[in-house]
Amino acid sequence: MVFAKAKVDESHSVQVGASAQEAIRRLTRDGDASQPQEASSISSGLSIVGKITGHGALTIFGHVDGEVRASSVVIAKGAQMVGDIVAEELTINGHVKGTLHANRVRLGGTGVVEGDIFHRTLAIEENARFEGMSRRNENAIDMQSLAQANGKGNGTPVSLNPVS
Amino acid sequence: MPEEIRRLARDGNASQPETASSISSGLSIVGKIIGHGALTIFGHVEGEVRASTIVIAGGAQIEGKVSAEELTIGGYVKGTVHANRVKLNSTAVVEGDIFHRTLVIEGSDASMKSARAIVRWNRNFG
Repeated sequence: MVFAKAKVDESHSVQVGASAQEAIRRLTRDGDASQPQEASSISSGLSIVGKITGHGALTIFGHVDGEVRASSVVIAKGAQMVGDIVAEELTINGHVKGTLHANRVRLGGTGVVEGDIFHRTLAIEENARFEGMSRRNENAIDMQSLAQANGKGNGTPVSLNPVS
Repeated sequence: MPEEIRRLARDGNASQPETASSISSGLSIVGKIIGHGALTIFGHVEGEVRASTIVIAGGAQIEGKVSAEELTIGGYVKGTVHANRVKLNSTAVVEGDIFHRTLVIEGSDASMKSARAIVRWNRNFG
């Protein structure tokens, strides 16, 4: 197992391409099943009413009514979300109604945002819909949201970059 | 199942909707989770959980009512459990009533001890 991992890492560094990515994906898939994984996903058949907090990657295909905090959040095409989002990295291809706080925000071509965006970098693709205010901030995930995450959330909130 | 979910989660940027959901160990949800399809929970949930197939993995913690057609528990559940088929793994701890059609409790004496649960068989379930 260790040997296989080293091999994959080597090939990844030598040629970063589709084959290396495929190898890493295969390795991840064949990895120890008992080890809990850091990526979460909410399928299109699922609705969550409430607060989602934590770290790691979260992809939402379904419906969420409530606040979402994670390191990396993807609102996939077809997803419906009502509530505020705090993330380091945020990609939106679905429908979001709420305030967004993220260091890197990307609105995909199918993305719809009704609400304000606080960001360090913002990318809006053609055909994306954005109705609201956008404000650039060196620390988009500000101390206020950190305090909120610490105060209300359970466990570790999103990992944050140090204040410069 | 976890492998499949992990693969799906990795490929999560793909645009097609998934049928399998997973809540990782780093995530906490306070609220209601309701839907159909498969759901694997590694993290913490405080609230009601309803889906077709639910796996509560080892290390996961649920406080609330759990309803499913098929339910596998390896973690900790505090609340009433309703499912047609229930399987308790050796690491499962359930504090609450289990309403079921079929119930499997896995393993040795030690695991029976850890799988402490009030079990009620219900012929007319579902």
